[in-house]
Amino acid sequence: MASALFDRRRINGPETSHPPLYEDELSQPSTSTASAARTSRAPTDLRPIFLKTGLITAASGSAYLETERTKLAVAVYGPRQVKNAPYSSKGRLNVECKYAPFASATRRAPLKDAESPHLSTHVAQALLPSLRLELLPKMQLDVHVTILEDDSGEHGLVSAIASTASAALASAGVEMKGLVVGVTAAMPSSSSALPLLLDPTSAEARAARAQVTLCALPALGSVSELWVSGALREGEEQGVLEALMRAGRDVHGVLVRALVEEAEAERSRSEGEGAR
Amino acid sequence: MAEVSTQTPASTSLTSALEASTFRRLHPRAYLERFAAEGIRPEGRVFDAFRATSLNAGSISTADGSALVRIGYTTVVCGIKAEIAEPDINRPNEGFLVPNVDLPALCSPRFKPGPPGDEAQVLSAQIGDFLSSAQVLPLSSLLIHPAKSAWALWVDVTCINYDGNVFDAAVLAIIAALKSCRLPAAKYDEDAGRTVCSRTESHPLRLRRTPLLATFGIFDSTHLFADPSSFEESLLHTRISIAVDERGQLCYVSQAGRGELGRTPSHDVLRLCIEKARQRRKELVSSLEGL
Repeated sequence: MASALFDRRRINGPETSHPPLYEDELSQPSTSTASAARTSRAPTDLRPIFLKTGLITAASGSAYLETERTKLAVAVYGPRQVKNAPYSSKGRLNVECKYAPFASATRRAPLKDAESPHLSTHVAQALLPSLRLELLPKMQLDVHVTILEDDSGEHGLVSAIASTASAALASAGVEMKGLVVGVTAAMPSSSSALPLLLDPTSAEARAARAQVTLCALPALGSVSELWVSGALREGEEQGVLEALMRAGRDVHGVLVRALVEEAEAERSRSEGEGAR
Repeated sequence: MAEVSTQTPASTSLTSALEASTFRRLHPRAYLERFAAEGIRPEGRVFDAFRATSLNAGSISTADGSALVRIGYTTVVCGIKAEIAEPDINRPNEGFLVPNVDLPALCSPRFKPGPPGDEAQVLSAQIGDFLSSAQVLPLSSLLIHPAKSAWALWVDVTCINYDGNVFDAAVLAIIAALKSCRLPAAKYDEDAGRTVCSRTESHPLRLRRTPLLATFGIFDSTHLFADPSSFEESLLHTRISIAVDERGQLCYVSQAGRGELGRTPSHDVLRLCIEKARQRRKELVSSLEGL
């Protein structure tokens, strides 16, 4: 039920409107909890990742990620001076994650549901250990994220944003100890025979009994964030973490390739200009 | 003046590039004047050239209609979400078309995070005016049941990269998204007091016209630039936007500024822009799919 408060800064629509109600939802009010078996890829396969840096020309660094039906853009501005704040010997990292109104199945009204401090906190926690903020006194890094289409659920988005933001920070030339990658696993409910599903879609995430998001720096072999929700069974966590670390290395390879491509394109462009 | 230079060709061009970008930063007007005097604009465009435009419709699965538009580096995404609402008491036979433009802090350093700033508010208002006065989509076509149920189309445009002329890009994205939009067949159930939609049947929107916008700017009262970039926008004293539909009819004209162009009287300047807008529409329609 979308109930819009009157916002004098936007064009307002009807006071209340609701998403369409379909005829098949009438006869079966509750969505089935049994998760349909994944058909398009293996349980431990990630969705193909398309990552490109440098698409936002005004930003210091930027990255755009597309994995099947999840699309998001990250822009990094900075390091720039912190105004109106007392001196701090360490730099600040501000992460702001916003959904576009059309990004989810139900529209997100700009005033109420679009910004997500929850996502922003998790992503900031994932990125902080990789950045050398002690080299940026009195400076701040602003990371702005816009989620254009969400088919991963909150856990999946945290991992996707962490990877993309790390690529954007690297593209901006910010000094870091290593690239951060994020991967998510969903544990299907007991009715399914599968042990775990990597990189779940939002439907798989909704039907899961537990989700685990791991953000790590594969180059250093260290973990920057681990977020678990739901109930993991005894002894499960070892297998899950190993699978996530393995998948993280694959994602790391994708990020590195994208950054190398950007650097080579930049180099051939400046060489072309020098030759003229 | 004899000078012994130990610079290699590559490093010479690097220092001259640095000098040019410093000059551009410190004296933007003089920088643009130098180019204009040679009959060209900073990125190498001629005065009436529009930047390369690309369109990708229907790529966002969570939206009922969507389009991604790039004009040069300016990138905008439009998504349409269709919801059901009760018609306004004073307009019982009409649905709703609610456009909004968002210029987030992501797209340019000139925008701060938070509620929409001036530019976004002005753009949203202009686009709202444009859609209703150009009669693009008759609101009566969104009615499901008189006074009880109608479609509310929330049309949201988000800018991903700001490099000037978001107005043109937003209008193109909205028109393309409206064309790609499909609404499920809906029936109002009087007894239960609710609207039920079909999963199997859907229909496109009944658009009355598909106007496309072309924006121009006047620099120094001497030169008419088409499709200003963000660097040029701040230096232009007049901006003219013209929308033309598929029959060549004028749907929208807006001029902000004095409108002087050398010795040409203002109304002739407008006539010139209208001709160029018609040409632009022809080029766009022939080169882009989904229009």
